[in-house]
Amino acid sequence: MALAAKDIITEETPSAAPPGYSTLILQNRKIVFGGILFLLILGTALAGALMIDPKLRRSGSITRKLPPHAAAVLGTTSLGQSVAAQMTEAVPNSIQVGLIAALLGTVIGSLLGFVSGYFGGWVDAVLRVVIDVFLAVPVLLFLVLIAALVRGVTVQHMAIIIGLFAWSWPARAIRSQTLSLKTRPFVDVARISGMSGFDIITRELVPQMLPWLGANFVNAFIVAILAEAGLSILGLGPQREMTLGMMIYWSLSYGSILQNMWWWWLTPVVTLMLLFLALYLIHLGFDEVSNPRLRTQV
Amino acid sequence: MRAYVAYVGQRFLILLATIILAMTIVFLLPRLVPGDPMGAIMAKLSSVGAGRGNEALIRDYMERFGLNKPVWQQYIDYLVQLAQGNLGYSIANFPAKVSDLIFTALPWTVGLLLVTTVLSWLIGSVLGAVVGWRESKSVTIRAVVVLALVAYTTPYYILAILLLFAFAFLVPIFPLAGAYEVGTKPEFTFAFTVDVLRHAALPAMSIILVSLGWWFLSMRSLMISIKGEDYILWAEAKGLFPRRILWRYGFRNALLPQATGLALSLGYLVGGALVTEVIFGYPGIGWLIFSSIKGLDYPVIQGSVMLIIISVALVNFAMDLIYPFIDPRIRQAQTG
Amino acid sequence: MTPLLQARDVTKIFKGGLGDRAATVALKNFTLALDAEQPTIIAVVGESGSGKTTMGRMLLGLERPTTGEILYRGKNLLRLAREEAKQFRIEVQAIFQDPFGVYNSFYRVDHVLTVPIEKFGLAHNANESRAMIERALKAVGLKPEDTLGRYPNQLSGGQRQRIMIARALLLRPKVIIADEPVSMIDASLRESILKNLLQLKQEFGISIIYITHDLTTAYQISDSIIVLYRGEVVEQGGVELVNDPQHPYTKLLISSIPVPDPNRPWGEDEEWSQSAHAERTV
Repeated sequence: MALAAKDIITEETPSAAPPGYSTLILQNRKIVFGGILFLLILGTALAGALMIDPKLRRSGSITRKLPPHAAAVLGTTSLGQSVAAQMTEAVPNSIQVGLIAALLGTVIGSLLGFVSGYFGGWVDAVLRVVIDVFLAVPVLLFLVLIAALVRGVTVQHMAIIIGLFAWSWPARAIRSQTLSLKTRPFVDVARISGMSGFDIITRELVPQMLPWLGANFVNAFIVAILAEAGLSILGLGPQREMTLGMMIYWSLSYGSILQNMWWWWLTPVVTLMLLFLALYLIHLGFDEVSNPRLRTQV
Repeated sequence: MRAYVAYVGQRFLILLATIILAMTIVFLLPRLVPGDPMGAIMAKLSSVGAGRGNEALIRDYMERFGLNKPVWQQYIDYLVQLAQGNLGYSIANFPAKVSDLIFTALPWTVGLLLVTTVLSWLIGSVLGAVVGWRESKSVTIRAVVVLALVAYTTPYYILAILLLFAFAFLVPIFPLAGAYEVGTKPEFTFAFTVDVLRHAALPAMSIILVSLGWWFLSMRSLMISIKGEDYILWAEAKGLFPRRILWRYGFRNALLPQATGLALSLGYLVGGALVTEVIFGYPGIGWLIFSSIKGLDYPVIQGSVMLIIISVALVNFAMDLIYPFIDPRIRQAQTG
Repeated sequence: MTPLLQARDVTKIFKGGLGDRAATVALKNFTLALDAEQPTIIAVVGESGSGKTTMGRMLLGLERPTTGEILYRGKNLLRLAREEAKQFRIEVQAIFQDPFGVYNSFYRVDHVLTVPIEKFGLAHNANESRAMIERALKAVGLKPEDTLGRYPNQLSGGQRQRIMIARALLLRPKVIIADEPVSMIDASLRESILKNLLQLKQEFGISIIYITHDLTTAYQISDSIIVLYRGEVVEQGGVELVNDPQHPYTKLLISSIPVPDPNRPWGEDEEWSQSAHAERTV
């Protein structure tokens, strides 16, 4: 007979207050290290923008094809631009694309995920098909289509186009998390306390899922920067502005690898890798904060 | 059986939705994007080859997009055209048909993807299983894990650029670009096969390395969690050989989630492969799209995009059909 | 006189997924009427899987019946107007089993007390709200200064459950549905929580539907008992029925109450459990 099996003796020793999210985040080595690296990259670019004459971004402003030297610390391009000067524009632009797109993607994805997961029923049935479809599709291709149509895209266009297609992973992740959270007793308590579905999502579920939303946001950030560079390499980037992707595009177009102009292609490539490393560490950290069981693993 | 039919029905619905979505988006986009891209396409058309084909080309376009008809009529005409396999003509390479260009490029992409996906999935899963099973914290294993993490977080195209620099420029073992030596003709000779393999090596390597890292890491964590399961403890208690437990009990149970991951990652993989092709000048669909973008050849972009989306959806559907046979739990459980 | 809360021929079937034929009948043709004019405690007794929790959740409007209807003051729960729904939420309250899971770990325990006051507009200002909360906490034997402003993990299971009782009390409901309120509480504290429940009836005139697997506590505090077995009512009546059970399952429940008598040997009622087991596996 399993009648008495439910009796669980709860421990009666009151413990300290649980650490808040801010503490958990500041104590997480991955988040701190990733954050510092990220700020370092952005900070260097912003400081560089103050120190380097923006005119050096224009073609023909400096001797062509020079390796790193005093006048251009990161060398010059085949078109006579300073690579360092280009970087001061490219890094903030790429981060801007990531931020806007990730924000859009996470907001749309959260909306769909919460509604689908919490309310269930036919809304969920429809949304689930939509989410599944967008998950299975190589989204880069839709981006290719749009970017090919919009002539003269700007950095902001890129960000919005990418963001509009960056919601499927967050939506899926948030939906499944909502499904598991909504069966928890505190949701029942909220319901009998007169909270509406909207109240419960915003005031009960969202706070519980903050680190989870953070992890999704950072993930969308990574995907967006990846997509920007991918689109740019395909020749669909903002032709008149500089992003890390566009720097790679131009350097490849002018055969910088063959001409051994390593400074030209290597600079954006290394910066992208560092940026990914920083964001990926932050992502892992948020994952740990939202799922304490992960903390013990490597 | 009834459950399986319901399951297949649901997956089929998703397939259908994907195909309809792809066709609809391809149809609607030029009409929704501000700045009249349809007009631009028409303008581009009339400027191409002021000669014989021009008239036919524009007529074909007027028919396909029927700009003077109501939108729903245009949409139905477009679907009918598609059903007949008519993707229209290329602008840049008139009078080549879009479908012909795609079918010249397609084998290269499919070959590259097929080989790299299977190889990376197999190697990554087996390696991950062995390493995850060992559970050792030795320096070598930690280094392997970190390496896999680095590989997996590196975007395809970055690895591609690095490999290109290292093995085509610094140490020129492999050719810089193309799928075979310029001047040779595709034929089934030994020399040509070797040439194709040499050209495919770097693109393949860049795709394999990145996805390998992912398969390795996911298999490893699956194995670590499976090790704690009761049936493994039971198998150990029964005194089965560790090797047998690893492959028959552990690996087999981890295969399903690992296979599910394969389907989910396919879209991402295809996208990555397209960009990789551009970097290596590999004449697949990615390269075709790249050159069409340069030549403002919208019909070709459109056709290639649609074809890839539909193929990915079909492959996913095929995999969905197979899962229940690998693992009967899916047949029983709800499809959510 | 329409009863306050009524279940009329309620059946709940849980379906599996798409095309899954394995459906579970959680509750079958359940009928209950609660007239809250005269405060009373009704115990609903059954083992896990007997449908007792599902019944409670349906009475609270947290789950929809498959067939049959739940009526609040004679009106189907699904068809309540906005104002009626609010009145229903105030008058029909609940205490749940898990005294930890009912708290959102993001908030201090105050959250569960302030939300209903805010949502039902019970107080005009912060001071009034604070006074209400303190009154309710004191009524269940808690010191406000020891409980307010703390996180759930800083309080004991007993304290947490009492806060939930205080939460229900705040709203001055007519009925409280208490689903296994003591099963996850340290054994030494159960008595005092049960006393709180009894006090709700005696001092505040609140009726209680006490859902439990434990016939002993049911006998201690309730006025009438309903025995549920695999979704069906097998016995129903005044609390005296414990002295003269009719259904074999009730008899089994009674005989499995451990008697604190060291001279009585273990396994005396083995025969019962075996026959009951045989019946269950049919």
